[in-house]
Amino acid sequence: MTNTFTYTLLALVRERDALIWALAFPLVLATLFFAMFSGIDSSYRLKTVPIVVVDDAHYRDAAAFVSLMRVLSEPAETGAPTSTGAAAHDGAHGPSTDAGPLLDVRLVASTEEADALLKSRDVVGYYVVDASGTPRLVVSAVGLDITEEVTRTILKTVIDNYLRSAATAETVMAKTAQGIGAAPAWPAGAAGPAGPAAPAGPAGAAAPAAPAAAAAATIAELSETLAHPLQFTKELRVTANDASGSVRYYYALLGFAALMTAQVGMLTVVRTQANLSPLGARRALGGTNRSVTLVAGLLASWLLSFVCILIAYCYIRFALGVSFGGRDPACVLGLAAATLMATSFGTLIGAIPRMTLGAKGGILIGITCLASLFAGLYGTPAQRLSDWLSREAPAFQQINPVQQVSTLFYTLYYYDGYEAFFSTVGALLVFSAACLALAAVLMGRQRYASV
Amino acid sequence: MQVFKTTLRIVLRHPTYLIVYVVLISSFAVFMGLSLYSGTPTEFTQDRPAVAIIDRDRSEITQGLADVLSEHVTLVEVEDSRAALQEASAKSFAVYMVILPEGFGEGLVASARDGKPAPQAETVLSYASVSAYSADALVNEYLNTARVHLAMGSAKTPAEAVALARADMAHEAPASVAAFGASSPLSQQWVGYMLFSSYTAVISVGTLVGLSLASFNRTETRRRNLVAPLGPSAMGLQTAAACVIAAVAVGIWITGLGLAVFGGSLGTADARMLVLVLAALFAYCFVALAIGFLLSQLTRSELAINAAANISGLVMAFLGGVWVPLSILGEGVIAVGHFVPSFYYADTISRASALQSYRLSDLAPLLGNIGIILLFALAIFVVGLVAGRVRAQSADAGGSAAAERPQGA
Repeated sequence: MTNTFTYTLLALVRERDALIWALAFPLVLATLFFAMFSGIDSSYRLKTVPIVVVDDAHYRDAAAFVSLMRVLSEPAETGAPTSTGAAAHDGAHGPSTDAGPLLDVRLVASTEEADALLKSRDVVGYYVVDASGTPRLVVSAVGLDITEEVTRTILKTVIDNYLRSAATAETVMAKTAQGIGAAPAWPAGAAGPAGPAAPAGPAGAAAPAAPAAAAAATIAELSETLAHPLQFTKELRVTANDASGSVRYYYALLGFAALMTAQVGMLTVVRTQANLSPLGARRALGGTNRSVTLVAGLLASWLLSFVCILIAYCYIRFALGVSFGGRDPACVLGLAAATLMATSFGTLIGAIPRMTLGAKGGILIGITCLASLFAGLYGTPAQRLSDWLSREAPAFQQINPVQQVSTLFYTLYYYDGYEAFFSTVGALLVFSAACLALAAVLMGRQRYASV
Repeated sequence: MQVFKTTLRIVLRHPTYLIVYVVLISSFAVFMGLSLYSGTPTEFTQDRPAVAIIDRDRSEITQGLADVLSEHVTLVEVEDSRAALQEASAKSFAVYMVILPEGFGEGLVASARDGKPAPQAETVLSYASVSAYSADALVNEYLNTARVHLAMGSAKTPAEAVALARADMAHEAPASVAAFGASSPLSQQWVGYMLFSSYTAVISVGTLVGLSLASFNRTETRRRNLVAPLGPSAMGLQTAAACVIAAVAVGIWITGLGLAVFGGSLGTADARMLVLVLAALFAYCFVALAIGFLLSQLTRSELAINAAANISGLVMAFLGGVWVPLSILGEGVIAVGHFVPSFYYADTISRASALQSYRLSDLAPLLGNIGIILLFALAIFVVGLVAGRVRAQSADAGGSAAAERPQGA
């Protein structure tokens, strides 16, 4: 048993092609991810949005909107920015980003000039104010960049908020008029500089002279209230570590790399089958019990896979500095379970009768690629697909081995306790046992009419 | 034509790779395309982030929030427990979760009428906090509007405040998409499919061509072919023709599948846009062909060719901005991206999808990109030729080095 184990391990270590998948592949991809995604988390945070505003007569007449643009393009002086980028609204400034103001306003003289900038894709959109004082957002067609849709939503939110404040002012004025017997006029640009204020056009209505004092008091109070909206929300962190957009790439990569080590298990089994390799034929005639050969081979495969993936983990964790929530011992245990699952899966694929090594390798790679797609390895759209599947079809993701390995690290990074981690480890062990049982059935039934 | 037929036969004798890499991976591309925005590109659309409301108060004020938010975001259910919140945050079930504590509604009324401090709701954000910005703005806007109505006396009860706030929140500013050209932009789904297909092209053509050519590079096969009555150039031409046919066939498969699935969404797009995108695809297939040739000259191992084609495909897809928008990556990555052909492929598709006129000045960047892609193919091919020559002369390959007299003999 010990000899078989040792020599199988030595033979596998000399199998350079299999090691490309098990070791070189995760190292190369991890390095690539590090080069690409080291600054990706900041890109998910709100940044100053460039916007063009058509500076024509209508715009200059809409004093409140001019004021809004001015305020939103100034950095907040009071009120710390929230994690969403919205500054506390108790100061004289509107929402701002971590680094500066919400908007970077560029005034242009005409719509044609704004169109030209939009056409050249220098900006996502522009604001133009119509004769009634209502601002309109004009954007370019949806680009390939998915962040563009988020940006245009933010731009729309700004002017929606502006019009809604105007609507609120109108409603309050109308209700107040019923109470005091007059309809007070909402003065143009009366709202404070904190942002949304009633535009002069839509809200402005002729006011009767009496009772002027009550109307003036209402306007002053409303102006004050609208100018200083309250912040009703504060951020709470429920996870053990800060949410990160980059770690999921590495976790999915480790899932992918773990499943790729199944190649080693598959190779080992093929080398023990008399009808698949000359080595298998020779070993079948040897004096060593077949089950001993298989068990020793599988242990050697698992050990080699585990060492390869552990090297990849250490490289990602220590050389690249990717966080795993500071739970290294649990991560190593998780890797052991992950490689056991992969070795068992490789054993199952290797045990499929009447199929060449190349075909089995192809099937394994196909399954690994498919599972990795649904685990979100292949970029932003794949991550969206993975999130959608996790939400809508959790059972499907439960049987996705790459997703399960990825989940191992998620549970350690995000969750307080270890319940979810051990539950995932248990799922991997069950998966391993099922693969090994099936492989045993397949191998037990094989009879060689001719080798 | 015997060599030509044999080369194609070798390609067809790898059905697993044909099924896995050509059929399965292109099906992934279809999946990816279908997961993208399916509307007309000329319609104004907004991001609808997944938002969860955990309402522990169940007052009129807090219940009105769900009605308002449902108009602008995608509401999802998240259980009210720490574990569920952690899971939702970890797996991005919701990019924004708002927890409204007990007494929140009463607190808001007291804040409006008696000037007491505003009650605080807690929010949990995913890493994509930029998407959460608009949801947070909406929540605060609704609560402020309800508070204004209560404070100003335009609403006597919380129910009235909710009704008025909902009416105010129904107002939306006009927004439109500027149309500059005669035709509409290309469907995002087809564009997404074509972008992903660069990976399909590299791993399928790279692996199949690599394996096929590597079969001819086996030492004994090579020795046998050297003494065959067919000259090396004729043999090389026939092999090359077969490989080109394999590459073009993969391009045709990708094109056909894309048009079959997404053709309906391309109805209003200008055919010239499609032609430019397809020209980029076929040029890219030649890059994949050159990669396969290079791999066949470097190794004869099936696993090594397979792995190298996979790594090349993944690296080029990431660096070229095919899977992750380059705009969210650093300047350094964008600079490096210029050294991979996938960058020019993605750029061609990006430019073609929003092409507004077909003057030479507008087409020049796209045609230039396609030219650069072909130059990449040529450069990789030349490297393959050099690698092949070095290998052919080596002792291992039975070349001239094998005939050298051992020193001291």
